[in-house]
Amino acid sequence: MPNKSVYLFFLETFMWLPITFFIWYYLATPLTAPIALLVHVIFTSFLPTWIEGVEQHGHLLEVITSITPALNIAVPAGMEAIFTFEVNPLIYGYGLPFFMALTFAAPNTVSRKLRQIGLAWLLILLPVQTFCVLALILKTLVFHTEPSISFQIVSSRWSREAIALAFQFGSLILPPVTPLLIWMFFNQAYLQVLAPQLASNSVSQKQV
Amino acid sequence: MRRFFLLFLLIQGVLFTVEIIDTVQESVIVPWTELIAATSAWLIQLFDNQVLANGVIIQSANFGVAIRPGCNGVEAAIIFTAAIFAFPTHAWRHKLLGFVIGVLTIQALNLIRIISLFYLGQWNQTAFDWAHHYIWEVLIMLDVLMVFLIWIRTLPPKPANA
Repeated sequence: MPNKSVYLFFLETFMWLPITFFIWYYLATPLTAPIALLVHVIFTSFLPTWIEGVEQHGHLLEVITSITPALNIAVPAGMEAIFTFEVNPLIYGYGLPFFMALTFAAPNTVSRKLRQIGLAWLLILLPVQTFCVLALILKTLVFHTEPSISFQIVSSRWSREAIALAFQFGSLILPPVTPLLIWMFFNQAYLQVLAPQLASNSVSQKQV
Repeated sequence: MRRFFLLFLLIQGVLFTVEIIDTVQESVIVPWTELIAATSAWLIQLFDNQVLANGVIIQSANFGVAIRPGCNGVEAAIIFTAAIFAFPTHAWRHKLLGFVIGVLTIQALNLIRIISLFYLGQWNQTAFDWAHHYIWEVLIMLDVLMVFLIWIRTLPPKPANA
């Protein structure tokens, strides 16, 4: 394995970022499709009284509830007002271009890099992004609807606290940390080249 | 490595849970965020004296940005701190030194981030959204990884019979 300097590695990662961000944004709609499907299935299964469906519009998701909002304007006869809102799953999805840039900058074969990216996205990044979107939607339902409705959706104080914690953790910690951890896991041997002091502490070297 | 990952997740989870407790927010995080806003405004005033800090908001005559959770560098510092203290070494002086220098580095980059976002927001909303939601998030984490790896490289060699 070439003994690439740690600075050169970060420079290379930095240079990969515009390319990986471009690929990611270009593929945003198909990458969002499985999230839309998963979120739709989960909400219509577990909260069918409140969520009628989740529709994908490009890279955005529209959550259609059965909640009637309190409006100060008259709704035309024969029509019904329902509470809908839009979420942008991409704000939790930047881990993929980040992971891709780190992976492309590491010295592996192209097939191994692509395998790592595919596995990381399918097994970790996609579920994590879906979790973050679920937490965001739940937070919106529980904390941004009228109390008379939100307490019917989730009434226990602990459940509300858990949703708030899941949202905060899903917004602030999971998206940035996950790609780093997966990359470190996949590239333990290379990490020891970048930081040789790791070798005396590391218990195993894995390559995927 | 498994021990490192588990300890890292544990420390990070504990620190993050402590961070979002109301009392900690009111007594530590909000004052810290206000300090960051004031420092950013002070730096901007070196070349643009129309800018002021008001609480967690940095504002000029016709534009303002509020520094929200996730924008104050605290979470990045938590991640870095967890990595340093989860790392299996007994070089505690190195850990403390790494912690101080690393957190300072993260906060310095975060100030650049806030100032850049303040000007990007005045120029173009799409550029602001991209930089805010995606690009700076990645750059800050890249900084965390870089400082962490450089810190590991400065660790003293382990004694042969340790």
